Amino acid sequence: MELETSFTEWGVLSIAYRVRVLVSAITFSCFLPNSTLAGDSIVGHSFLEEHCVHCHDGSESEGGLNLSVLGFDSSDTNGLATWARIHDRIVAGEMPPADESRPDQVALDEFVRLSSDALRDAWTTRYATLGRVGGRRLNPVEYEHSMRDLLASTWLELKEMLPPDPESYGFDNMAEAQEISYVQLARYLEAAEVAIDGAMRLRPAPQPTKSRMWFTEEGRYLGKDWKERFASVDDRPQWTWFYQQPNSAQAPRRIRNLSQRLPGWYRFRVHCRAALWDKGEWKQPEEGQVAWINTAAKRILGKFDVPDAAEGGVVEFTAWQNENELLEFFYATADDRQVSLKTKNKDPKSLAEAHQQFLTTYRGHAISVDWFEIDGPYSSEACQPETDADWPSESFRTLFGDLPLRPWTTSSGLRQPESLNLPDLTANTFGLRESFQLPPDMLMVVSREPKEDAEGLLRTFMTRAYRRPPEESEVRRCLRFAIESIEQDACFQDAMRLAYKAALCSPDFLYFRESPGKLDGYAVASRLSYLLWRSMPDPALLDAAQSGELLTDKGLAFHFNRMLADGKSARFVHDFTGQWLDLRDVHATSPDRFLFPEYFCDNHLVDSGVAETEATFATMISDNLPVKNIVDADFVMVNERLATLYGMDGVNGSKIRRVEVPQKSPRGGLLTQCSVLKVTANGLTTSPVLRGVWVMDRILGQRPAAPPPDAGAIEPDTRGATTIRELLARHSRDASCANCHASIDPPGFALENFDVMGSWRENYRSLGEGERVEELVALREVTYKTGLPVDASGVTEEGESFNDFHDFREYLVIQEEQIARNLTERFLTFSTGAGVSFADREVIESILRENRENRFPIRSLLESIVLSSLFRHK
Amino acid sequence: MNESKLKLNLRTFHRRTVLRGLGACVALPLLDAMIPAFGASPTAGGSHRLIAILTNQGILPKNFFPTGVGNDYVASPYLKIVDDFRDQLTIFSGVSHPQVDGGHSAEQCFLTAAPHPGRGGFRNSISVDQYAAERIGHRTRFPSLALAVGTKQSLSYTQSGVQIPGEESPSRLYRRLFVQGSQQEVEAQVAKLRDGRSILDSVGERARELGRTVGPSDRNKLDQFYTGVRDLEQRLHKSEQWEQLPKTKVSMKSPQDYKDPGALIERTQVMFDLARIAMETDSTRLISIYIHQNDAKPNVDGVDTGTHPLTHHGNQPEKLDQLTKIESAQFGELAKLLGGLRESKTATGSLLGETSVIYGTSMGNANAHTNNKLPVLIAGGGFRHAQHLDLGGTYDYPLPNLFVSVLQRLGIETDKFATASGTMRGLELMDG
Repeated sequence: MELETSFTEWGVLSIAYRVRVLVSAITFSCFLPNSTLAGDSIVGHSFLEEHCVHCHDGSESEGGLNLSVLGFDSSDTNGLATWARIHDRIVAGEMPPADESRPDQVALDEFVRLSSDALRDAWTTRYATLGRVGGRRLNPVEYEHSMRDLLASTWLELKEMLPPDPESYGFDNMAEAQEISYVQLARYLEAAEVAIDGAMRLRPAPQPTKSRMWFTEEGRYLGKDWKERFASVDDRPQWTWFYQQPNSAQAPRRIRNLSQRLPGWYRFRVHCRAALWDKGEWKQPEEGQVAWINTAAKRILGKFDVPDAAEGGVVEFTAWQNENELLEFFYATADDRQVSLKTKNKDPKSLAEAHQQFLTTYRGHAISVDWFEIDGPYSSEACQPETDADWPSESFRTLFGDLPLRPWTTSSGLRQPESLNLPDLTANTFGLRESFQLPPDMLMVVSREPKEDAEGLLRTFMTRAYRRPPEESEVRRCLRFAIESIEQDACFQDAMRLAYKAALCSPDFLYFRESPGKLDGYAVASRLSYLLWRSMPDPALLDAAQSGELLTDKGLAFHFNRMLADGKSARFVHDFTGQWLDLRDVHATSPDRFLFPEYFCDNHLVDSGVAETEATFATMISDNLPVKNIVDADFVMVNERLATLYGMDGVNGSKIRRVEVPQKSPRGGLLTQCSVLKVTANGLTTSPVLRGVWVMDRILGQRPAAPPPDAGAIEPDTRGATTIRELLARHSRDASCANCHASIDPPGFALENFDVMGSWRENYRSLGEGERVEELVALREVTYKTGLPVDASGVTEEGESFNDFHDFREYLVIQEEQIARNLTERFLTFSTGAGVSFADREVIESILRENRENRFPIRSLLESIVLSSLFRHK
Repeated sequence: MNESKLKLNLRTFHRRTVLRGLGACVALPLLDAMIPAFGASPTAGGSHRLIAILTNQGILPKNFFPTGVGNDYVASPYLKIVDDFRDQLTIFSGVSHPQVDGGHSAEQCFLTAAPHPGRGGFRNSISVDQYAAERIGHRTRFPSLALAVGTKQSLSYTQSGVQIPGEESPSRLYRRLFVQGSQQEVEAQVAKLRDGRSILDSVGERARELGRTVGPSDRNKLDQFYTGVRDLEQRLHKSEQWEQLPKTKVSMKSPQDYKDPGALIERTQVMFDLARIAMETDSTRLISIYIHQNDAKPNVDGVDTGTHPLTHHGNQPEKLDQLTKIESAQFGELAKLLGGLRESKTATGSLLGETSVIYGTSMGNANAHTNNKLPVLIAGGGFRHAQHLDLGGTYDYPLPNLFVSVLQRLGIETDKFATASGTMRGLELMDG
């Protein structure tokens, strides 16, 4: 065979069936001349021939493993992962399976040793030449945070302008999965412009003004005619009550910033009140009422508890608002279902009567807004007139330093300023954002020495953007754009925009700069800051990179702890848990309105659930809690809504706070949290299979194999005649199914007592058979029925039986080392941008050894990763 | 001439650009899909076309699949809606993309057939429309259009597996297809395009330079970066050439954009209209349409819940009934699209005869999130139709074979696409 001979030059081919794999090896073998030698000892090894090949041979072989085409090549990382899996399953005694003859132990040990050596050699060779992590680019999240920090513009929304990067090893910042083509490049050009234009926003210093809007009983603005209707503002009926979400046409649902149409920091104050209407009289609310102020594009500016005193109370907060950005008043705890008046006659008089009649029978919470005040714009977030910095804003100064602004005139001899490209904030939150053009502000940045200023500004800018001092040739390349424009009489800002854009589209900005071997200080600084802040290093970190401090254990540990203590580390918590625990998908399904009417449109609950999980994880890190807290903690981080869901008393208000869990409560730890139980359900039913797979994968790091193509699926059924367990029992009667389900099902069964939002249940709900339930939700009788009882018992893979989650939790705690291993591996993956290879295991295991005595404290695990050789080498 | 106009012209003069009479406003975001691929000048060739449509929340199987096979099948409720086109339809049973799983994740693979979306190490691959666009896209102003209903995502992916953003605004699509920009807009836009090209040019050189100093795995990425830069530059350049040809005038008025999240059917209708007119005017020959059904309640009589919640129906009859109403309305729109294409006459017959319309979904059973036994049909395109092909066995028959058949129909000589094993069994071309 011709192919065979042509490949023998590499000295790797003795058996014809390896040809197919080697074809893919050609491209990389030039870098890795010895790459395939290590595998020689195991490919076609007699152990495999004797015990494995008879099942794992051919295209439809067992478990998708086809040994007849599996070669060994260190350029083929998927192939190496397959070999690692073979190694692991033999070590674990899972292969050969129990019904096959047991291999001779000596032969087995020999093969395990050979394959382990071969794998380690292959990876080590690869690391030495290519590095562990490939070329890695900023993903959309990192890009957005970087731009916000670089340009001191926290309000920039850029990630939706960029195509999302694919997810791999559970995260979307993996070097291996990232591709680039003209599609991204077109978007980078656009996003860079939008960011720069958004940050510079030339404008004269505005005068902050305060304006107040009152609302009338019809829920409208108190318009110009208020003097005709009321002698003074104070004579109007003060409170306008909303029992449900105000509809889109009503104020205060929609609020316009009428005073200033300028972007900036504003102070918002709301005089509002919550109460309980009880068939004719106002009472104290029984549950805390919560409202949000968000923009039409669902950017949330503030969330607050509505005061319940009879005279109401004033709530205030500060937030950035863009020009003409429409605000919405969102009654977060309201039930969105309309409670309708029952009347046939639609004339005003009949309607009014019906309304009065309705009010005598209605009982429910309501909120009211007296007035809404907007004060601004300010240049800094504090919104304090006394201490407010001078305009132009800080973001302007990141681009133009202290250069002054003057009105543009023809006599300047310069061309008219160009229009600005700004993000279209009306875009929805899905998909890609566009931008729109704003006519130029007729202002210009004045520089007496434009070429010198251009160079100085650009150098400072590029050092921060590139996370290291830029090369001289690179400064020249970008500067050329500014100089040419200046020579063609462009306004200074237009000349600089081009130069900045040229820098922000450069691979120096878009890619991590890491060379094979030990990383330099700047590369370590970037890894650390993109891990903890999801963004570029601050000046202190760059200083430490330059001085060499970051190359020492002490220096690295110091900055690790310094940065973790900084507020920006919330981005790490958000992004890491968002992917590790699937919190990003928390809105993927909504609870069925008939089965779970109490959760209908409960945005406050979903929002609180995510906040709980993030706060829990943040606490575990800041308090350096042992890893067992992931499955069993003696505290929860809850607010009133969550406490209600969990059946806990004495928690009031929407603020998340730490509460000790009562004895015998199933709460405490991530698994019984609302958010986790929601993302592992589908809104309609819960599936022990999905939850079981999730726990095995995310918590224990033992992802079960994908089901075979003919496995079939269990259809959710809400008719109540059978439980999911009965359906599943039928499904897994087959021996080949039973094998996998023995490990998948137990965690799923143990969680059966939790419904689709995480509330405890003893019985399923049904929409078909079952007992009627006498209960009102939002004034309606519920339609669901009490279904069959929940059975949360099971037998673990090791044969230990459990009655419910309480028992199962103890079983999980015993596996704390495996939980720690999983978390450590995920930290490594997320922090470096590459999956965990066979050769990385030694490092992971040594980290676990170091931390075993203290029962694997979570921050220590993360810190150990940062201080490990893997983090400090490419 | 007023002052600002004067300044603008001075500026363009400085750039030594003569731009009089150029075509429309090309904003940068639209570079993605709407800029012609580089390649030969527009010439006649085969005039076959493709419209590939996905609805993302499954199609109720019992309402879709007919009973009986071959020519004598009995139309299902949904097929009755398009039964007027029976002689132009082939319905498939027992087909799916091999190893494409993951429930909703499979949407992104409807036109790519890349296995195991969502799993570790997953990388998407080129979609069938882009595969064709790279080969025949240069013949039209827009090599392809990636359209979307209710999302800004699309079904179209480049060679390296990057998604091309979807166009979801009917009015903007109309503007891009048919409206000439004012001269001032064009000049400003072209100046911007040239700035973009000049930045790209220098950034590309930087990638080259940097590539010489880094390790092999980074060099690999920088090479890719450089290729991307060159691709984009060439696309920008080609677009400037197209700008010099006036756009086709059409009698259709500019359509409205729907703000109502529930306007699923309305949006579908206007996108289908624009797709047909884009074909009629030969503005493009390749269109993908991603119909994304969100949680909003569609404006369909008798429906009070969003499509996605309804697909989690748990076999409740009321939900199944409402879902049927939504999907019937969608098939109604498909019927209108097919009707419009059939009425549009070409030199060789009707546009439908030259246009393969693929319509389907990525989940066989949305209630269970399965990705096998997909409801899919093909209409038009000059195939021998009027049949129900049941191709399933123990395992499904590979759906990528349909793409090979269609690519051949488009005049592209290939017998491979993704995991295809050949052309679609039983789907033959008409004689001639």
